[in-house]
Amino acid sequence: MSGLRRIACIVGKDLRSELRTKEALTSTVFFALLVLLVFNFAFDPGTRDVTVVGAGILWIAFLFSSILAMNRLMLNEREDGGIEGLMLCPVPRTSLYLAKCATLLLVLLASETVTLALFVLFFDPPLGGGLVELALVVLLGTIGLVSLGTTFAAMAVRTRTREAMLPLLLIPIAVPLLIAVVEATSAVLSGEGLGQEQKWLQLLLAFDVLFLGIGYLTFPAILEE
Amino acid sequence: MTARATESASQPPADAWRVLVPVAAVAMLAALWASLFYAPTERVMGDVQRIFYFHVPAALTMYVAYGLVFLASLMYLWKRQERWDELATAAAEVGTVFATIVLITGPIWGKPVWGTWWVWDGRLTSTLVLWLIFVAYLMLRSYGGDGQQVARYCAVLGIIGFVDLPIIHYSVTWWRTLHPGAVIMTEGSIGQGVESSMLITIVLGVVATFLLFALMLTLRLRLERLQRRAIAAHERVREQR
Amino acid sequence: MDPAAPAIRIVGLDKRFGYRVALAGIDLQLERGEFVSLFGPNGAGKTTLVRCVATLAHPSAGYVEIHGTRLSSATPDLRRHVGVVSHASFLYGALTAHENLLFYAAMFDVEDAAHRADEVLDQVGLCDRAHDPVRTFSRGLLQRCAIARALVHDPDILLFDEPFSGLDPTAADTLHAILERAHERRRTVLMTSHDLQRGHELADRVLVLRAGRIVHDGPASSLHSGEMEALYQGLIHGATA
Repeated sequence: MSGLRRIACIVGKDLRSELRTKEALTSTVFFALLVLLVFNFAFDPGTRDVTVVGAGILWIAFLFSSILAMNRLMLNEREDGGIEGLMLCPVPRTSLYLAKCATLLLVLLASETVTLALFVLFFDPPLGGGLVELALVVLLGTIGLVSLGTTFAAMAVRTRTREAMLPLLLIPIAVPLLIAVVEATSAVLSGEGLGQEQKWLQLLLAFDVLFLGIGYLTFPAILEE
Repeated sequence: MTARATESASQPPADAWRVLVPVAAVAMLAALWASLFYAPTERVMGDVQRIFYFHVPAALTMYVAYGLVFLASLMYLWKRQERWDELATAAAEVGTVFATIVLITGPIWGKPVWGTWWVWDGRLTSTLVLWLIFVAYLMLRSYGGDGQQVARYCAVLGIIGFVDLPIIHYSVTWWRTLHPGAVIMTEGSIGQGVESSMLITIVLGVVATFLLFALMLTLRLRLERLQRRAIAAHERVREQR
Repeated sequence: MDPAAPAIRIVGLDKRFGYRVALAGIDLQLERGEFVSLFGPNGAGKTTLVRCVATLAHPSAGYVEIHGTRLSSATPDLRRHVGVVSHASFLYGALTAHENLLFYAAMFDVEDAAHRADEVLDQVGLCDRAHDPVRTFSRGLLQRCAIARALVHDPDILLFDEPFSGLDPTAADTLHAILERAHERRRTVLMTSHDLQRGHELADRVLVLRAGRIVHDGPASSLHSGEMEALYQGLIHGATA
């Protein structure tokens, strides 16, 4: 079996496990819904221009719910030594990073789709024809979050503070990513499109490539004593 | 116990600090005198500008310290030798002290000159984010689990944090230029029309701060080594009971 | 894979956790088909030794060879030869016993995985619970399933770390039979145990580990189990008193 097939096999196992318990998916979607609700009261976007605060609300919902999912998926793997079981398999440790990233990405994209639909329903932004552009921004942003989240969640679940550690590690490092996605999403939500905002896409792309690379190279050091 | 292990553990901690104490003290006093009396009062900003003679060296020291964390982290992941982790621990802590100094002295200058304690300017924001990254780093040190595990995790974070620096810089700079009304502190406002006595004072400040940094780093390193050996000795005694 | 090489060869293996020495200069060879029991008090380094051979821990110095090839990050395929039973089960709670085994079988490229999964489940006496989620299993059932997991790719080297702990008497007898059969089929076995009698009975050769060093290495047949007990007590307690 080739390396890629093995990664797919691990992802398949993780998704099967997730679909049986739905722990990560339900908690993520529900949490994102609550964030949208809280921000609706806090900012009352009905009276304000949704293009000003909309992107911020959306990404805060994505960010905080993704932290929940990262912890959930890694805790599953930690339960009764799970990831060490994978470490005994004839797969390079770097492949385990890619497998964990792929699972997290799929779970997050699923929950973000639901969140996005709710967001459009609640706040009715003047999207215009920008759905494809929005999808691109969300995809690039999520890949960035996943690349860091996989590394940091693998660390956090083994610390004494457990889940509490993850946001402290993730958010400061993700500041450039958050700036870029919010700026790019604002441009799309206001109906302007990404024409003027190419540099944010480039920054997102650079961020994704860089941290996927570092995560890939350092994951063995996180796993192996 | 084992020959190899005791050899590395019983190395006497560096004694460089004994020399550094008087040298750093003299340099700090000289820098203090120069910044208060030798350097002329700046025409526009007045006396408050003198804080620059410590603010700028502290910022430089912060970058040196975090650069050391990055190098020590790389070396630890490569060689897996305890001493690189000790260096990273010490440099991260001392670096965060200097980062805190930068974040405190900046607003003291900013209030009278800009009329506000804080602006979300590119440089201020990226310094704050950098400080947050290393506070998280120190928290990971405290709560990260057993010594070996925490060393590996911190090394990875040290690398990620440092690589993030230029990206943070670009992102906040672009972000600010998009929002009109930001007060941008340019190189020019400090660099233009600098008198030679001002230049000498700032160089003196840099030298003094670097010496202070070297002293704090060696002392912290010494403390870290003693602490780790004490913990190891304690564990050995407990095991043999 | 060199057919003349020993199944496991450990050369100058050190494992340090910071300044704490877990293993110091271990040299050890296990010939093919040899059954070695490893005894020692808590903290002697038994688990660390097994983890180093299983590639779960990275040696601080020295190396491990499997069938004449040195273990490194570049040799994941060597793990095909090794089956590991440890304190943790390495099973996924939400999946059934059968699904867990199918997953591991697929990872190890086992042909006709479904049939092989049934076969090993039968060996450990888990057929009637095969389609229950592992989460619902008692400690004893979990351990049986973990043993089935370790055997699913029919490895020729078995690393068993305290496999009898937590097993009820019936399950312990099943495991005993499995180990005997593995021995008959000329599998190489390295087993750590607290149970001197059982460990001695199964083994060709017994080792005693104390404070990270091998303090006894000899054929099991030269002692009967009473002598084993006296030898062990002498090595562990005689030396510290």
